[in-house]
Amino acid sequence: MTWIRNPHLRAQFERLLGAADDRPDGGIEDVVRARLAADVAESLEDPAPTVSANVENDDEDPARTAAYLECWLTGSEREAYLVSLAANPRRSANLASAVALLSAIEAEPKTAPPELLARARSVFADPAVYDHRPILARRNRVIGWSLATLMLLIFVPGALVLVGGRIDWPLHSETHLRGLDASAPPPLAGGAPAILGPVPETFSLKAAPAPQHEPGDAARAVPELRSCDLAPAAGTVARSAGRDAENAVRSSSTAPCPPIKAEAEKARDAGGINLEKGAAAASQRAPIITPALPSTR
Amino acid sequence: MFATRQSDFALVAGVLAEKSGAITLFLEMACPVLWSVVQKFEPPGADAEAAFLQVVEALKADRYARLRAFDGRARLSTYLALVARDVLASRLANRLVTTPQTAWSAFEPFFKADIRRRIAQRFPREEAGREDIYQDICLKLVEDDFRRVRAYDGRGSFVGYVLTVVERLLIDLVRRDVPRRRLPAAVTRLSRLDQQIYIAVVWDRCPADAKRVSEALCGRFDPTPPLTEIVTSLQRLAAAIALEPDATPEHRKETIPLDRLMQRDASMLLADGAPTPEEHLLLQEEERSRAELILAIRVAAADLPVEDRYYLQTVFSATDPLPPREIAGIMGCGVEDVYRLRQRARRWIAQIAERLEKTRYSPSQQDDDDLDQEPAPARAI
Repeated sequence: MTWIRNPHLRAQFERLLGAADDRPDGGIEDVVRARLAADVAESLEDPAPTVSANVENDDEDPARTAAYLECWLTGSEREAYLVSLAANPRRSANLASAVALLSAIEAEPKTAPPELLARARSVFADPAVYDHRPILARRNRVIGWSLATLMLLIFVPGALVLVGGRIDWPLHSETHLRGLDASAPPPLAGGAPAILGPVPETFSLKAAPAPQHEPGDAARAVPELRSCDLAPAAGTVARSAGRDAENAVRSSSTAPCPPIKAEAEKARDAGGINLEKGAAAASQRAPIITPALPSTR
Repeated sequence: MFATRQSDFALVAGVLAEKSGAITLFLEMACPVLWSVVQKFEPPGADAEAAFLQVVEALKADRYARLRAFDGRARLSTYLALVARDVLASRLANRLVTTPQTAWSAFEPFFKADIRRRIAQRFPREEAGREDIYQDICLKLVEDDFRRVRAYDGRGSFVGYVLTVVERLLIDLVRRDVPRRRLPAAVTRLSRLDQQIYIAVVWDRCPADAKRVSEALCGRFDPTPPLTEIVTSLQRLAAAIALEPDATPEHRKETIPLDRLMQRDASMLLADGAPTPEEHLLLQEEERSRAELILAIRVAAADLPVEDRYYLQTVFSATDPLPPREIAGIMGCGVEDVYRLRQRARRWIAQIAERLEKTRYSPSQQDDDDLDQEPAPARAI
């Protein structure tokens, strides 16, 4: 007996793909279809090995999810996202819930009470809210600076003795510092405003800097690089100098990804780096800590 | 749309640069979105306000880390809604760990809409029974001190995890309960009122009294049928079929030993809930056919492009066909793409059907003994 001889099973299976208004009257067909849908859904869930290999980690990225939901993901980026959705029931359940939420709040928008708005303003004005782990951060900062100083004290003279065999402290130090002055970009702390573009004190949307390219296109053009990804790379350098340095590097690559990526790529392609623009500039500045360590000839 | 996203991007840039004008504009734009999200998940009152402020703090925390991640591809409102939802979900997950005793009061409103939506999609016909199903699911989530929920390993979205658990529970319910709840053929031929009365009396164990049945039917008909009509219907049903409450195992209150039964009254008759031999054969056949079909789909789906595969997963996540607009929302594409995907899926299904037909015996080659044999594995598609 094959399932083809089971006409109601086949009919109900095909009806699962029917139009939304193609709803049967009920009865046993409903039962068959409910079970079929459940069975097929589960059988489709099993990811093939090739699919699971492509799946990224489980961390959700709201920016990418938002871009996907608004149909701004295309090409390989969309396909990669679909692969992760198809292989990960949690992610697809989360997405379906997000879709429902967005529809619900769009259909029924609420206005925040004025007192809450005022409290939100005070939260944004309160500098203490910057970091949720102030004590931990302070402790890390102290530890980081201590370690960095210790390393400098041990390795710089040690390396000089080992490699040069000659100690000419003032001369070497001054030469090195002069070299740094000539080649190093401006300090990291000054980087953030340049990246973000000049924002007038009295801010208005019309006067505000806008991405030069379609943000989605810019992101698609350079899928493998993200300005947010610069932080870990720079962080490797900065880790030895403590959390402060790491934060400074992060703050220097503050601007959101796509337009800046495009700038960085453009600058790189043009054979030079425009220090006034983009996270590329920040990423170029970040490693300035490293030349200080060898300090040998 | 592009202009909106440009200005959103610039606005976030202004906030990151801590320009007071930008921050004011940002809060005026963001607060209604954040408040709308909070209202969907938190009961009104102090809890909702606390949740709202926590979301605002989360946006500012770690030097605006969450705002930095905004890449300007989507609208800021969409991005903020998703971030707010994630923050609230993390808040809930923490609460489940720290104060599980009181967490249910926050957990239930958070997931209520999602759970009800999934129930409606899996059980589109059981409008009257949805509340029972909802309670069933809630009980299972609370069971053993939130055992299922607390198994969350912290990877990925907490919302996604809980909803996956709910989905599994619903599929179990579909498999376990739905087959037992088939209307007898004699009842399927009757009117909708008769069928609903049968369901109320036999499945929902409502006493076969017109007034009680009328109360049970409340909400299933608009307007509720008059009592005289219900009385007539009850009589009609009683003539057609035994109108007794369901005797499925979960409804049996008492176990009667067979020897006691025989001693007490040899002439006593018990309703046999088991299927008749004919029904048994049909059920067996259906199970076999279903197994073949599922196997064939599993094999064939391995070669499907990912978009088609995800389309099928979306479609089969509901018992009734979903509206194309809803599918488009989940698929992150336009409605016209959904129609294109549907055409492709239909062709794919038809191909599977044809291949199954070719690879199996023709009906004339089979004898009745085949019904008792194990199903042959489906061949490669």
